[in-house]
Amino acid sequence: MFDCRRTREFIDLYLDNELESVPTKHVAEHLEQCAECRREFELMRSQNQLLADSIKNQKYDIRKLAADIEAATVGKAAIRLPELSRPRIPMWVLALGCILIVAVSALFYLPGKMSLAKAHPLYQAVAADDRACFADYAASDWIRSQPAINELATLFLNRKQSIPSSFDGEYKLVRARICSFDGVKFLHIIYETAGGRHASLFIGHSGASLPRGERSKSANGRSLQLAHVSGLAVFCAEDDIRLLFAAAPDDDAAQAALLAALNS
Amino acid sequence: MALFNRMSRRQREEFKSQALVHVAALMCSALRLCGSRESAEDAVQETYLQAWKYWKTFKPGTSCRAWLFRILFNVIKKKHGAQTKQVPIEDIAIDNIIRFIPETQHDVYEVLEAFERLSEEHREVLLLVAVEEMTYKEAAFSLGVPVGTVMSRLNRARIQLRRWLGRTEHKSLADAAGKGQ
Repeated sequence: MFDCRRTREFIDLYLDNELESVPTKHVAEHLEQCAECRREFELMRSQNQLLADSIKNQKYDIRKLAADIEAATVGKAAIRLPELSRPRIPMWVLALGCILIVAVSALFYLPGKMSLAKAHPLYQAVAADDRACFADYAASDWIRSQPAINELATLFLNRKQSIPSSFDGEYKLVRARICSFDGVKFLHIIYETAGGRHASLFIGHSGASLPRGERSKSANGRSLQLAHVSGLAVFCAEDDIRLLFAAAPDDDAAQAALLAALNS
Repeated sequence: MALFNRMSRRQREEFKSQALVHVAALMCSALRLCGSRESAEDAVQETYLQAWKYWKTFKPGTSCRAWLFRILFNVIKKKHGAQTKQVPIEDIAIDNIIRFIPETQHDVYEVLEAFERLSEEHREVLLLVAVEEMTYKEAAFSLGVPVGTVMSRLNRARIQLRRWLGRTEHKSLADAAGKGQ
C-alpha cells in the first residue's frame, strides 16, 4: 500500500485511468484508509467533472454546422447524376433498331470492299470482259501492232486523238480488239507492265449517260465514276460522245495508273 | 482543390462515420479556445476541410478523434491565435449540469474562469484528457508531444486550477445559483 506522498504522485494517473493494475490497487487501498487523500481525490474528480460538463453542455445547435460541413466535404464530392427516366420504348425494339442501323450502314459501306451489291451492268460487263480477254491472250482476233491498233482506233477517236502507246511509265500497249457490251461496240486495249500487271482501256460510242458507280471522283476537271467488281477497280468517264472505261486490279498503284491513262 | 478530390464511395462513408461524428466535440473545444462562436465555427469547418483533403493519409485503426483534434489545434494556432476571451455565460446549458463542486461549493463559472486563465497548452491538455476523456497516448498524438509532456502539463494545469480555486472564497449555494440567473 502507498503512503500519502506516493499516492499524491499517482493521483492524476489514477483519476485518468492511466495507472497499471498494481499501482491502481495500492492507490485505491490508500484512498480507502486516508480521509485527507480521499478528500483531495474527490475534489479533483468533482472539479474535473464540473469542467467537463460545463464545456460539453453548450447551448449551441450543432446541426447546421454539421450539415454545412457534410455538404462541403462528402456532399460536394459525391457527384450525383440526374436520374434518367425509364425509356418508354422497349429494350428489344431499341436493340432491333440498332441492328437495322448497322445492317443498312453495312449495305452502303461494304460494297466497295466486299462487292455485296451489284454494280451497274456496264461495269460488270467491263470487268468480265477484262478477265476473259486477258486470259484469252492467244486469240487470233487480237491486233498487236501499233499502226494497226491506231488504224482501228480511228473508228472510235477523232482525228486529233490517238491511242497512248504507254502510260505511267511502265504500262505498255500490247494488244487491242473490238468487243461488244449490250449491243454497244467498244475498243478494248490492253496494257501490260514488265512485272506482269495489266490494265484495260475501253473506248466506245454511247448515247447513254455516265453510268452511276459507287462513288464519284474528280480528276483534272473530269468527273469520274468508280465501281469495284470482282477484285477490279473500274473507272468510267465521258469524253464528248465517247464513253471510256478503265479496269485494273483493285489496288492504289493500278488505280493511279488508270486515272493517268484516262487523262492522257 | 481538396473539395474536388475524387473519393470512392467507401471513403466517403468512412469519413462520414468516423470523422463527421466528432463535430460537436470539436466545436465544444473550439468554443473554449477561440473565444467567439464565429471563430470557433470557422476553425471547425477549416479542420474538416483539411481532414477531407488529407483523408487518404489517415491511418485506419488509429484514433480519428485525436487526429481531428490535432488538426483543430493547428488551425487555431495558425489562423485564430490563442484567445483569452471570457466564455459567454449564456452559451452554457446550465440546467443540464451539476452547478457546484460539492466539496468546495465553487460554481461552474468560477471553474470556467479559472480554466480561461490557464495557458493555451494547459487548456488544450485539459480539454483532451479531462473533457474528451482521451488516453494520454491519444492526447500526446493530438498535441504532437511525448506522453511525458502530456503528464507534466496535465499535472501543472490541475495544480494551477486548484490554486486559483483555492484562493476563491467559498460561495454560498444561494449566491452561486443567483449568478446563473
